[in-house]
Amino acid sequence: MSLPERVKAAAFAAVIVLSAVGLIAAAQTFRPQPPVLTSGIAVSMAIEGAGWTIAYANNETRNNTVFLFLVEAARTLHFAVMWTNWSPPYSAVFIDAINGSLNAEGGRWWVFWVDGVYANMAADLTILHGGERILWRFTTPEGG
Amino acid sequence: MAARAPAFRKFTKLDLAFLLILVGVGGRLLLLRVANVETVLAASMLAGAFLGWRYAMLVTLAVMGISDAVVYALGYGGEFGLHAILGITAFTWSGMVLAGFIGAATGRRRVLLTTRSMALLATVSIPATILFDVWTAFGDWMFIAGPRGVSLITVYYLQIPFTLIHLASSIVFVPLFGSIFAYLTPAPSHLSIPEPTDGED
Repeated sequence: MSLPERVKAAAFAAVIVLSAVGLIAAAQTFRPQPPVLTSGIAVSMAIEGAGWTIAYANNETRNNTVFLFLVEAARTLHFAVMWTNWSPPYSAVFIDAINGSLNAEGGRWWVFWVDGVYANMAADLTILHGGERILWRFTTPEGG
Repeated sequence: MAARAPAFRKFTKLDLAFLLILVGVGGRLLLLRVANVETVLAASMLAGAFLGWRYAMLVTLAVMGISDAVVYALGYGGEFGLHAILGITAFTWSGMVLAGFIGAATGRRRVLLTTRSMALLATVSIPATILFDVWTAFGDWMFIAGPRGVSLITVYYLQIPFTLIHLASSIVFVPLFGSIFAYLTPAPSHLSIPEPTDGED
């Protein structure tokens, strides 16, 4: 006995919704989760803008992502940081400006390295474990 | 008296192609800040399934051309440089055309407004999405990550959550828009059976 078309359609819609929710939930398991620190870690950061440099270090920070540490530096040293939030299901922040230097000004963009390694994830998804040196540079794209 | 077909079902192929371009461009721009949730792959696949491979190419190239122009005009991707953007463009456009061809291969048997047809389209969108992501992640490695010292394995590993979200996007949008376009597609015209005539003796 074949089911009525409406029943089939409802069952199909339910399978699609459940599958989509499952896939999005599975994607979240790949999302880096910074551990809650019980003690501070040492991190240092240099920010090289257009004709200026900011250096910041903290031996007892609990802000253990590149983004949180940048915001900590901005609040401590009183410079501005602007960013854009990318929406869920895989949210992330994109840094738009640091200390008044805005992306695309003079063909330059903000990019960062951790211990000399070019970042391949967003700043808020790049976890710090202690001892890292972060470099933010306002630079022209490579090969561009 | 023959039943009168509703006027809204008298869309031509060009009308449907235009609507699919609207779906692709509009969805991509509206969802620009939602990583890997997009309507372009659905528009390309459905263009292939409903209109054939030529329209799949037309719709895909129109959607990608218009939306890329807007996206890059807004400043997205500028940090990668012109060389990387051109390289990635080649991979994304060709990947979407491939999805359109997969849709065209699926639609060789007529796609109807039935659960069976929509289930088939949703199922086929899974390999189409995976192929697109494998292809474009390779392009990302060639033009963006590779030159900065990131290995291909790392790129594919980092791609996994984005592909899972892209799959969720495809299995929702393909049957959703597929149902709408199956409804709008002109119903098959019935050929009249010629009346038997008496032959001359």
